[in-house]
Amino acid sequence: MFSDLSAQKQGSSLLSRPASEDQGPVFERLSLAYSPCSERYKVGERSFTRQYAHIYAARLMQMRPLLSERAQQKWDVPIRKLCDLQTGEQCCIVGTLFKRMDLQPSILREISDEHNLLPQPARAKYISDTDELILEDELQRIKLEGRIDRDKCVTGSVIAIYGAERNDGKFTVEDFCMADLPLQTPRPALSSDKFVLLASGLGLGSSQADSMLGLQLLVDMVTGQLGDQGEQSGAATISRVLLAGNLLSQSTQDKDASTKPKYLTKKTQAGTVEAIRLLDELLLQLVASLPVDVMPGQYDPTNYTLPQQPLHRCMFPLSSAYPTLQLTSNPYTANIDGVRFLGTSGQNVSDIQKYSSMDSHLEILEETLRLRHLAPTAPDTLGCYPFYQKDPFILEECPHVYFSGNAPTFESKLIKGPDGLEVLLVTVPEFSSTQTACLVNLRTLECEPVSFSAFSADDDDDSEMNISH
Amino acid sequence: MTTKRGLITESFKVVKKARRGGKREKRPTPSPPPQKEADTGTVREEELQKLRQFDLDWRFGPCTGISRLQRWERAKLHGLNPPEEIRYLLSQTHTDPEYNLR
Amino acid sequence: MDELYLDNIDEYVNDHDKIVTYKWLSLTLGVHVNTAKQMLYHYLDHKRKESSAQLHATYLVSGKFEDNGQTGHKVSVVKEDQLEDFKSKMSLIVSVHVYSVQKALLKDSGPLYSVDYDAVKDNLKNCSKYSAIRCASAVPMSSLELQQAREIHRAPSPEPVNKKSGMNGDANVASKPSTKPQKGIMGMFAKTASKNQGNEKDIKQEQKEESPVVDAPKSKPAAKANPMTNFFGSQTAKKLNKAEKEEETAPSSSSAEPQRQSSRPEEKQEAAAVEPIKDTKKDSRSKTKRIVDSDSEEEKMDKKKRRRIKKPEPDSSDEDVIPDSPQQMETRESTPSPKKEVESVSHSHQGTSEMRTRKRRRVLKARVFVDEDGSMVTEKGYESESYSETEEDVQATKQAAKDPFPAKQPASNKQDEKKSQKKTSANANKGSKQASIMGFFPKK
Repeated sequence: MFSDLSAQKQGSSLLSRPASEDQGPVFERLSLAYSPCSERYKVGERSFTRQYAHIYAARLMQMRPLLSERAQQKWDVPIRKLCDLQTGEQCCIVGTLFKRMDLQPSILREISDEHNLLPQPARAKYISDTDELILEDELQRIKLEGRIDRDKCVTGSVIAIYGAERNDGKFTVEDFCMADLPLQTPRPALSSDKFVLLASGLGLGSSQADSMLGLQLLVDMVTGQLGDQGEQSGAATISRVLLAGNLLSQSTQDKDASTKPKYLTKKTQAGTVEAIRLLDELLLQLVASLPVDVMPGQYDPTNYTLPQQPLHRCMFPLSSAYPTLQLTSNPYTANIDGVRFLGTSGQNVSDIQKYSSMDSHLEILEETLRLRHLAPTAPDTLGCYPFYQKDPFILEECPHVYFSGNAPTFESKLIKGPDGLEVLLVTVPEFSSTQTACLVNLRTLECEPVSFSAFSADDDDDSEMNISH
Repeated sequence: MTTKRGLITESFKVVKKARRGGKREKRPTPSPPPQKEADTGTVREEELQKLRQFDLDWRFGPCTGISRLQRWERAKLHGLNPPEEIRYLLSQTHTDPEYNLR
Repeated sequence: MDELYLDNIDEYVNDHDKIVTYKWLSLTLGVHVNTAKQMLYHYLDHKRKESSAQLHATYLVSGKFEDNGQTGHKVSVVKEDQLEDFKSKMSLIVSVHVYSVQKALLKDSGPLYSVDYDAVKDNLKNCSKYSAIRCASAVPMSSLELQQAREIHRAPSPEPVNKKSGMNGDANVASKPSTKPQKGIMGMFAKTASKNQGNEKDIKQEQKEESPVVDAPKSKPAAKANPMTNFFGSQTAKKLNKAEKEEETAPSSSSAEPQRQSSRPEEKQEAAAVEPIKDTKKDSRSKTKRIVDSDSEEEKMDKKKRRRIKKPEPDSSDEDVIPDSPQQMETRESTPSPKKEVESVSHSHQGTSEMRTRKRRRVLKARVFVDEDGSMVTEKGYESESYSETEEDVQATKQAAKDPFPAKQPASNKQDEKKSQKKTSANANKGSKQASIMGFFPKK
């Protein structure tokens, strides 16, 4: 644990007079090998004329061999295409799930209902009892019933189902399987403890500034300003910081700007400008002390659709002078000292949360890993670039650390698979609301939260209350 | 039942051909003299027919919005063994918009 | 160690009434952060022994903390009175030190952040100079390296840039007769004012640059004339004729005077916000000028042409205090061939010149056409159409090509109004009417 590593070993306390003229301790930052592998998330061409049919087709093409193999191992029955299906025959079908949902917001329905103009209410969840689960292959679709949890499944997942078609044309599912974990390159054994700090949802530029001290404490801890020597020597083993999206607060997204006429807003400055400046200063403190990866998130000034492209350097005049600043794409992959990191800023997870019965970000994260797909709901309910050649969100290799950002709370879990496969799942909490980041130990793949707190006027009241009771 | 199905696909094909052919046939007719044109025309027609067959092969996924070569390459990438002949045709005539078709 | 710093801190805390944090102290005195922490402690200790004025301190506590079964590291800033309480909650204490010393009792920790923020901001370049961690790889790149890094950054995505300029290029009909002008014009519909202005600017700039090679732009616009006339398709030949005349007048204004003005936006390209106003001036001037002209302008135009060239000169020179000599030279040089000038200079001016004789309004129109794939497409869109008072009902024409004008108009609204009112009170009526029509346009 980080605290244990950092605990004071020698006696010299900071609660004493400055000993002598000698300068304080200086620790060397542990460096580590780093190779980004985000090429697959770079969008070069940007042509938006294609239809999304291609991405589903490519997804099925890529997933079919994997699933066919799994299905063969599991059930040993013929694998059929929907067009060859015989009523009553026990067989297995590979296809893409589609969930027809009454509550799913639809622009078309909104237009067709224009005459009575009932706005569709915003909801936390769009599942309902009338949802229908449908499996599609290249040519046909069939309604599913039976032993498959309708509410848990989401549109766009490619799975294999086992069962038989009934007389009424529906398919009774007896069992189903997902592509499950891909193969993993073994990670090298590290001799010492090294940490990567994950944080997300800094939420700069929000109206309430009280979270700022927490953020500053985080920066001060990582850069070795605060704490005793022990703390600082521990901090020197933090060899990388990964900021997983939503660096800016949602409130910097000025809705007025798009609706107001230009001549009224000409003089006003976009809310993001000040926030980005603040971010630049914050990053400068970090990058002067260690390498930092910056992923964009839902509210950050880059493209909205996945994969989000890196923020532009020109937004960071101060910090971009350092080679330690890495602006990365939103699904993020990199090898850090042989440990493969893969993760997103959390849009994929929170989208699935809306369209399935699953609530825990960690559970959803694991589900996407088992589905072997980062963002199954893209392009259905999650914005996504119209790829046609390949679906880049399919996991071809199993990461060692699989994370998603902007979660409501910190959660982590170590999944073990065959052949010594180990994956650490981490939901990185939103910093602005939880004041919590997390540290991943690259040697042991352990993960623990680091939280920051400062007193506020409210705390004072609370503690007084406590005393009086 | 089967005959009926055949009819439907045929009529579908004809419609497609009529529309595209209408555009296409204009080009070759004026340039070469009519006698030679008969030869080259049929070869061309055959080739185009093959390409259209490729377009209609559902195994290789949707065909709108991408070029024939892109579609062929995608099929190849995913191990679907698209006919080499198609690629040959496409590489031979890579400047002809009729062949490459977006 | 000499204890001068005690006096220093005392001065900061008591005389300047500052909140002294360890970080601020470290940056101010240029000492290692840990030394600064110890100094603060020493000072506090020293003062407490003196038991003089009351001092408040905050402490930093960090360590292992258990919360709902989740063990983690916790870093907190706490008030002195909560220190022991807080320490007892930690399962393992890693560090404790003085975070800040101040005279006043802090209600919340906000000010602590502000103090640090200001200190860090003043020392951005070496903010980690006094920290306890060095990072060998974190060295700012030289400007050359930076340049390279930027190029690398830029290199992988030339495509979008091209695309973008391509889009602009489409609209940029004047300098580059596009192969598919229709599309380009349709594209222009969707474009916002800023883009159009950008184009205009581009064109002008191009012209400026190419001014020695006058011939090049001359031939191009000529080739382009055809597509242009296509856009006026629904208009009669007479109208075309007229347009031509108008074009001839346009150079007069655009070449003699506005050219000069337009050079200013060019200089200030960066101050984009300033730009529209410039255009406005031009527009408004031409409009007010038109107001001065009689209604029979259309017939007289040819004769009046020369006069009208001159007229704007005094008019605008009072607006334009700073003359731009090179631009003027170039302008004169090109006046002999006014026709070419119009087309190459300013499509958007054409709108302006159009304004002189006709009025325009925007109408929501639905157009149905069959697209490449053979599907019917209905597009609704605002089109500006022009009409003159006499042929108001006859001339319901689409003037796609002139769209740039309305797009540009909104910015000039106020200016317009002011201008015309100031100008001729007799024509104020007309001027305000114009403005009210313009009132339609702000929605881009």
